[in-house]
Amino acid sequence: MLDGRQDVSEIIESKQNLSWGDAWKIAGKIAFEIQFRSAMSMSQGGMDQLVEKQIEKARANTKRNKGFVSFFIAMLAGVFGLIIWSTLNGLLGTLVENRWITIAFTVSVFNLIGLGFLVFWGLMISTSFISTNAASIGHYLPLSHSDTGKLALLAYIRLFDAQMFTIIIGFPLAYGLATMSIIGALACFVSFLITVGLAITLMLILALYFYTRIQTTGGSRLGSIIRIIFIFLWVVAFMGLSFSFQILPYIIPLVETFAVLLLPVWFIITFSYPFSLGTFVVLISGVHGTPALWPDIIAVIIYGFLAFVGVRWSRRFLLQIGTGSIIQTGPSVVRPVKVKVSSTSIALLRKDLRIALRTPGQAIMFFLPILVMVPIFLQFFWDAGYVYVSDVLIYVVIPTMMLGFTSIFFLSLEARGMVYTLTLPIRTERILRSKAQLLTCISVVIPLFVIAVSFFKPFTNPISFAIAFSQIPVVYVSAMISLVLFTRIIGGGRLIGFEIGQHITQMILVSFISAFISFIPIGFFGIFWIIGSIITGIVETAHIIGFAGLWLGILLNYIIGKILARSLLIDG
Amino acid sequence: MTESIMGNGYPIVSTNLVRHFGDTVAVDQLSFRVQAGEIYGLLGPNGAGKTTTVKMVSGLLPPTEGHVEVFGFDPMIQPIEVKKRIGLVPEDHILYESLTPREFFDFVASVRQLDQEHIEKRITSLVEAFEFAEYYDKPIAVLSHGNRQKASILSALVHDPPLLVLDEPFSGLDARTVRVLKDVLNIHLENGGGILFSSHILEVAESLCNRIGIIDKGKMVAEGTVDELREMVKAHGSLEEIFLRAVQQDDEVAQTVKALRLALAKNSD
Ligand SMILES: Nc1ncnc2c1ncn2[C@@H]1O[C@H](COP(=O)(O)OP(=O)(O)OP(=O)(O)O)[C@@H](O)[C@H]1O
Ligand SMILES: [Mg+2]
Repeated sequence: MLDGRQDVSEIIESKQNLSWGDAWKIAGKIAFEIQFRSAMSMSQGGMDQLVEKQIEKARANTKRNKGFVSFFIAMLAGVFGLIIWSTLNGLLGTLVENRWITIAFTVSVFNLIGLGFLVFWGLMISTSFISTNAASIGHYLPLSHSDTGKLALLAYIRLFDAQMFTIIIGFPLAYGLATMSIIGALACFVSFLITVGLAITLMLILALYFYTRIQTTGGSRLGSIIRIIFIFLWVVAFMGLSFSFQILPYIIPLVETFAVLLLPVWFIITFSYPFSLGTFVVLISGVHGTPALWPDIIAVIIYGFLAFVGVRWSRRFLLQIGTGSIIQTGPSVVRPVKVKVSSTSIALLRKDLRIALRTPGQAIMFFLPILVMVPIFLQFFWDAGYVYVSDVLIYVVIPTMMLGFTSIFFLSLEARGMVYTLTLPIRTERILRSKAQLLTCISVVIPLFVIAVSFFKPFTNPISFAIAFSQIPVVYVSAMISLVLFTRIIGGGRLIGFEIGQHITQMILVSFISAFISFIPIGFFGIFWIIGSIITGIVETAHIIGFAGLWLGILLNYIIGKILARSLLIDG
Repeated sequence: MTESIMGNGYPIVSTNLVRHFGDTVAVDQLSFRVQAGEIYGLLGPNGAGKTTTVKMVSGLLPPTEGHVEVFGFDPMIQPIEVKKRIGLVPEDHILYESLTPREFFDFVASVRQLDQEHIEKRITSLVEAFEFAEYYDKPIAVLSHGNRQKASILSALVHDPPLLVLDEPFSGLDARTVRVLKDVLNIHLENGGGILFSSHILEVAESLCNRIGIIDKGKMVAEGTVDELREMVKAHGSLEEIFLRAVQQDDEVAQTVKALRLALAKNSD
């Protein structure tokens, strides 16, 4: 960005020490450069488009993305405000004496959600922060070391500034509106400020850990084990977070129960994050009946101090991460050169697994498909009594509908390496197929779960199992269609590397189509079932006729997929 | 190298190849041909269109007009056939950064479905020749510029392709490696392979290339052996002289240098 550099040097020339305001401006340019560089480097090999157009596209995409995610957070803030408002006004039937703790609990949980969200998003971004060597941009400018650190930190933050501001502003605003208390809103603001500070610190510690530990332990056994353990922990943490996201609607009535359950130990847990923040907020806003938990203030001051120190400290490490100086290699053992030739599918799968397990932002991609299924399965399990065919239809078909598009996550693993893949004698469809296969392996969870449920609850009809197993090909085909459509949308039918965070809107579009496609077989089941029951009048026979319709739908999908691949892929 | 993999026809036949980027004409009516057993050098100033040509030859970029054939196959219509026969070293060696070379070559060999025993022998001797064993188990992300270039070169050579397409393959390599690579290329030629290669290092081009095409602003301005070129542009001496004359920069360079000397003179003010 030549024009960008010019502005930057102008700002710098007129100042000795960089003020935060100037640094913020420059950081904005660096942040855009990071996004642009990673988009460019990923699409280079087959770069078919004008560079100018790519710049424009990257800019528009960034805006759209930020807008979308911020909107999502704002909605969440709305939910947050609504819970608090309804609690205060007794709409949820919360006992008056329980109101304060319910609100404290809610504030705490949303602080935790904000923390988790920022850490997740920040880790995804850290990948491009590192791969584009972005912080080095600051090094080339005539700046002091501390200013360079400041720039690195701000550039990192500016990669998701809109999301962060929505969190810092949105939640306190919602709180203020719900409680009509300005001082309460301010306290809430402080709590989210602390959360953001802690989130930045935490994600940097995690990124640091991943990049020193994981990238360096290339081939060793022990390295792989450590890697898997840490990714597992990270996934469990994220799972909890996503879980609370998805079951939010069910949680609301449970909040009071949970909160009251915690009441006897509240005095103790008030010292722990995030509960100290929730307590602090209700205390300051003077919610009726809040006991005088003043020691809590000390805890909040400590967390605030930690967040402050963490953010200060993180400048230095961001600089190290950004310039790649934290990646070191251990003592090298020269092992004999050997080549393991396996089948193409295995090679593609193995490569994906290796890449995924080495990059925190991408490790999570692997587990997202499972995450979308968990809450629905839990709901299924909670439902008491007999399991009817209709239950299976709902609880098995919904995860299927949500699963197909997640194959795009696997495609994103290729990232910059995609350019290399393009030089190999392998067809686009073949590569997409390997991603769909990966997802299909995961979708085996669906029938397995249904079988597991059958151990606990009586089924009304064995056709349920057949339907559950039939979801495997449904997932495969809808994954394939999602991949073909996505490739068409972002690359005109040619594979290009991409970062998922940059294509949220396109992905959402595809997710709708994929959901619709996955619904077709079940739709056929329904139609055939109705026809069958009208003609024969026997439920069992109708089930079988419906099942035949289901497979007809799968076949239809398969044909649609083939046609789309033929016509939309560049080498189809 | 068997007949079947060589296909029929020349390793490369480019006919009136054109590539536009918006208003920029990166490659303009470029025709040339690379024969088996020949190394063809593509020379030209920065931005002349060398990389663009290389990308079109290897099927990474569709031409705006004209066409190119690799062993008789069109890279746009039969990309798989073309990619099977090409070993490409791109200008910016982008590989799977988080993999180690070992994992990377396993992947490449598997996707290309190479014979285990044969490939192992081949890689072992290449790794030895390029002194690469030490880096064989380090993530590509931590390799130095030259070592990444080596990894990129090795991955272009693993499958023993009949055509090598090398975009500035010598950039960042140390003296020893340059020497080894030259030898590897010569062996490749002796085995009947073809090479298309672009470079800025004129000495290397002069000592290595059978024929040279000099392009400027996307157009072929001179083509032939070094001697033929010398004849053509009526220049004496080294390839550098010929090159500058061909792209009509010899007078201009002299002028520029004069102006530069004045501007940079310490006692000018
Ligand atoms: N995607 C693109 N968008 C716009 N212009 C492009 C694009 N790719 C290449 N160009 C332009 O095409 C021309 C030829 O570029 P090319 O990379 O082929 O040159 P080159 O001969 O390889 O140069 P160098 O010696 O510097 O590597 C240049 O003017 C370049 O700016
Ligand atoms: Mg070039």
